[in-house]
Amino acid sequence: MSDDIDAGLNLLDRQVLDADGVSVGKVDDLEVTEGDDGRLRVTGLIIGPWALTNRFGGVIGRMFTLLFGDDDATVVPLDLVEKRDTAIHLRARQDDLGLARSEHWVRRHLIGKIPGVDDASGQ
Amino acid sequence: MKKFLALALGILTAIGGYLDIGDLVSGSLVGARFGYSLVWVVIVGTLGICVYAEMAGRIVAMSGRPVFDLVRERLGPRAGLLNLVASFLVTGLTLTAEIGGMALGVELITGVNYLLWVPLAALVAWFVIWRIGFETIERVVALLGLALVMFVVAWFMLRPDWHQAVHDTVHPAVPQQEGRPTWLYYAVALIGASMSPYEVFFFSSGGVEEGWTAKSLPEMRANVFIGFPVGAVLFAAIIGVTATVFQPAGVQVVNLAQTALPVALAAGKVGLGLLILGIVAATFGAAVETAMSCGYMTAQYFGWQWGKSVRPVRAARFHLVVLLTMILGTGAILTTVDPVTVTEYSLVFSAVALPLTYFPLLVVANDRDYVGDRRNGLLANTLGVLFLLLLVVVAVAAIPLMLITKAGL
Repeated sequence: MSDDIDAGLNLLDRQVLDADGVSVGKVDDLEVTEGDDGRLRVTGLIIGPWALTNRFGGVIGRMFTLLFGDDDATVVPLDLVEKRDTAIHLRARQDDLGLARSEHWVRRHLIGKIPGVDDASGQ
Repeated sequence: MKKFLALALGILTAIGGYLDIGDLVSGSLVGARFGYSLVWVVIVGTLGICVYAEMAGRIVAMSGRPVFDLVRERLGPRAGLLNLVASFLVTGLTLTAEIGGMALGVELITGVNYLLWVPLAALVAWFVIWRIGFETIERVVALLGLALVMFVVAWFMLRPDWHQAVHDTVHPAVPQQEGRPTWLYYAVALIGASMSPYEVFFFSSGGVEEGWTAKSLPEMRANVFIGFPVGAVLFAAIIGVTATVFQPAGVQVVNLAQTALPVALAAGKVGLGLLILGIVAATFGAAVETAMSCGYMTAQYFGWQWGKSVRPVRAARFHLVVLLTMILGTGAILTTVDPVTVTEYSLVFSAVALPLTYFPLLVVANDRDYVGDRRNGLLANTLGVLFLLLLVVVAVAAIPLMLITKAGL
């Protein structure tokens, strides 16, 4: 891959994996910060369906907010990115970053209650 | 030797897993009404699924990215969501039809009404997804599905007019008593049957589950380029047996039992028994694949952890989607809607949804960032572009044809 990154093509909507290789979400939006020199820099990946809400707007945006709440998005600072190929690999674990909250909710309240949920036989 | 066995097993799996309720229903409807005049569509459709499944498999082997990752990356979140909703509805409809087919198959064995078998069939399918490993499911079901080779056996035993079969395939003409729009409508259904969107979702996600790398390419290609065409021969045999038995008598196929009748005529009780076993296995396998595909596409759109290579607890949202889809599909077929009608609609809507999935595949199969030096060659791109154009035409024509012909009446 070349050194130039097209943020729209090579970052946005890419799969994000944590340090254990677990899928934690997509790059749903980018955090852009204005530096002292007045230049804009991408400083973080925003992960979580609420960030998508902002990109959708309108009815679909409101539906997403209803489904996932208006706080399910996390900013991951860019320096936590270990490497980038067809996916974005982070050097931290999802639990330390507070990612994939809906996964934990579904695990706790729904799927976790079905017998055999933690058995390896399904692998 | 071991390598050869693994390769043979893979190809057999591809053949045995090829047919589903869509092929069984559309093949026998078409054979009875249109004889061999639409076999060319199966040939075209099979070439199309080979071209695009190979691209999907190559992308997985080179980058580890399944199809719906690419859909969102290349179409963006809005068009990607539209694709997700469309693909989900079509695949859910297909699942509904497969559950119905499975239960009808059990009805043929037991004589007990299929509606009573629907909840049990769906429960078993879900349980298998919940508890059994990916390769075990795929292999066992597909090997049982090989019993559908009875269609080919019966085709030969019925001593059809091969000369006419070849002639009608190579020189397709609308049968006299049928209108051209109806003929084209069923051509669309056959395209939907041979190139269902869920096939590439499942194929590519399965590749990720099995950890394909560049080394897997020859095996993947053998499965696609040998397994799929041989599977398509089984599809053609369904058309063949119904064309031989029903078309001269002017009998139309309206239920799944009629699909099995030519095999009973030709190969007797044992043949029929094997065939029904094959029908149950094929629809069961496809029910599992479609339910999992709904989970795959949703999880891949949102970036959730998915699949069978982790314990269910580690992919909770994926399993929630699979479970909900299975419940919805079961509820839908329990409304006593005719499974054959559901199948026909699922095929036509499949054809409508296809370009949405194939376009990102074609783009990414040319992207060095994903596939390195294994980019599409001239042949893959020429065929890829031609099929995409064809599918756009089919997608645009499908709904008007459905309205004009009142869904093929």
